[in-house]
Amino acid sequence: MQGLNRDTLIAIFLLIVCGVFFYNTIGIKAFPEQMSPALWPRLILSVLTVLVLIYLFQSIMAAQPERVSRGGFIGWLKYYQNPIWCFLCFFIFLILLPYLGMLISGVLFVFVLMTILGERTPRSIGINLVSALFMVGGMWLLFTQALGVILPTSMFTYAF
Amino acid sequence: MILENIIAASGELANINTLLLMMLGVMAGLLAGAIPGFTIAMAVVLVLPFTFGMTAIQGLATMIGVYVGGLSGGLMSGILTGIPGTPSSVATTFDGFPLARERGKPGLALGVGVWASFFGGIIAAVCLALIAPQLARIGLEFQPWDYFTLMMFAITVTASLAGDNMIKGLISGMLGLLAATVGEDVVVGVPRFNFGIDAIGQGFAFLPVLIGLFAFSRLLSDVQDTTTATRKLGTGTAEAVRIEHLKSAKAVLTDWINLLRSSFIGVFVGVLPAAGSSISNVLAYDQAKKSAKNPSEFGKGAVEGIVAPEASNNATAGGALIVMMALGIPGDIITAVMLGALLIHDVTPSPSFIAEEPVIAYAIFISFFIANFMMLALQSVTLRGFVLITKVRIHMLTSVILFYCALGVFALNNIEFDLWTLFGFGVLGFVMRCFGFPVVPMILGVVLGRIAEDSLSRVVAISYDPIVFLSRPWSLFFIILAIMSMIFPLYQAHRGTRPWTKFFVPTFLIALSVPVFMMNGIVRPSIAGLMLVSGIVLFFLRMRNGMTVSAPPANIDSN
Repeated sequence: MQGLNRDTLIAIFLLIVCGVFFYNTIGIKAFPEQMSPALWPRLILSVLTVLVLIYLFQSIMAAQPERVSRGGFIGWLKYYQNPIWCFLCFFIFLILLPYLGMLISGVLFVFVLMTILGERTPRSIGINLVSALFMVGGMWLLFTQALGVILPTSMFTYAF
Repeated sequence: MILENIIAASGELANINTLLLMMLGVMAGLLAGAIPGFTIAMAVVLVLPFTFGMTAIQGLATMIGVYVGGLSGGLMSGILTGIPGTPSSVATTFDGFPLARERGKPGLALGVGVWASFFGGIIAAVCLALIAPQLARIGLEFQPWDYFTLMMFAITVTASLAGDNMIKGLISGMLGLLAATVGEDVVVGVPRFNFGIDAIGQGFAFLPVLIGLFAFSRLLSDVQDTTTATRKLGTGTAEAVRIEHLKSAKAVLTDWINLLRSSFIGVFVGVLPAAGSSISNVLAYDQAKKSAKNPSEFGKGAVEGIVAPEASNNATAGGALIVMMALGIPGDIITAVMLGALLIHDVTPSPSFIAEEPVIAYAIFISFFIANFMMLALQSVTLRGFVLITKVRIHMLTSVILFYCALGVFALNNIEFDLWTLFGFGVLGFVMRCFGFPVVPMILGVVLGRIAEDSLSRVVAISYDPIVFLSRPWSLFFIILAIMSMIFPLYQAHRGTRPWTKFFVPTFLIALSVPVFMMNGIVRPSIAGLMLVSGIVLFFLRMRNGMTVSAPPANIDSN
């Protein structure tokens, strides 16, 4: 028996999403003589469900694409390592933001990400640090001083 | 009235701040357009956060500056390095690079590109100012049924042209509409789909969704390959050269037929939803080659081969703006962002936009016109900047831009949740790209979702009868167009190989003649009559020629 292909799995996942959202529309409060707030989402979900079913049918009927071996989970991690690093660094940046403020966490984020994605020679690391300080600091100054935007400050420095 | 609006709009634009912002926008666009892989849409998206502190007119003028600059910027890298900066400049490299390298005339090649872009933009600006108000008059006839079906048509056509798999495009569009329903509904403010999370109660802000889906996911795709990530943006072969303005302008004007034809192709393609400058430049190049006295010169550095794509890609912006302003629907991703900018400034795009916001509308006309002059003046300056930027490594630019995305998103409402929205939609956008789902229909869905729901609520308030959608001419017109646009990719794939494709165009004409015939007046029913007769004649001609078709290619047959 052939295994499920990627498109089939995506279609099944989307059908579950449709189901969850459809179930959630049941609890939406309606008002008399007004369009029900659930009507528009249900219309969208109905059309989406039909489209996903077509997609599911297409994926089942289509010939199984040749599997590209990326060496299991480790291979997959290696293939997507840069985007995963980007997401991880951004996630940590968001966690640190309330504690370190936009400037410090921003400099850290840019410096760490540049170092992870690029070369890691002492010279490159130095350039990354200077670039991070200059680019983040410059934009931080532009937003806070020129545009008057209040950005999160560090709980340690209070000023930036 | 028109003069009053022009004077009022000029007054808004003619201050030093606005003009400086526009200049910065044009420069940013020129640089962004010149960097291979950095699209114009991404530049417009990234500039959007800076426009919050501005008035609606200043913000739109700046974004138009980026748009016009971006369309022209692509020619720099295309001509100097052979790598087009944007898909809009692909055809420019066919003759621009050989003229610069093989014939040793980089100054002339750049000059011809710049002047062709300028004239193309000016022709489009004239078309925009003349056509948009006329088309908007038709838009004033629209009732909620018509406007609702118009938006559905915009999503279907974008989905159908977005990629190889139309179903994925449509699913993406529907997911966008669904994302727009999260939060309070537009009629009575009832919370929906918040799943117990208070922060979602207000719904997702437009900007983090847009930047997450488009810019964030795009940047990550650029650095996915570890070797590419550490490369420089350019090949390092670009050098600043002196542009030969006088000689180039003369060469472009001498080729005026090609210039006009290419500009009109650009405007026409721009008017079509979802068909942008990436299509128009190749189309114009092809037409220029077919009409040339010496087509064998094409590909070897022919001046006509630079004039055609550059005039058409700049003119496409005018066409896209015509649709945006006259009908209130985005013609492409860039005008979708501009519509988002209007929404942020509490201006709701609709077919009555020009009538209700004449000063903003005329400011758009004028700023598009001015931006082309700025582009002409700033091209030489940014050429030096481009040479410097090509030395920057991709991973450095990506890291910095990811931070700028976060900064810009936070600046919108000063809410940290927006950053989490950016992160979430960034992940979603990247996953969608990896699985072959186009993100543009989803963005259009997010932009149009709440406006569509508002139209639907008005429809329901008047009548629950769905037959009205079929009995109103414009509504029926857009429904037929939507259906045909969904069939169109199949027609393109099987044209000449399946018998039914022979009857697609006649059926389209006959079907479309019905709503046109239902319209008021004498002109439109007359046009409908012509469409009907043409459709029937074509139908019988193709019937008479028989149902034989050429043998289908092996891959189609196997499906």
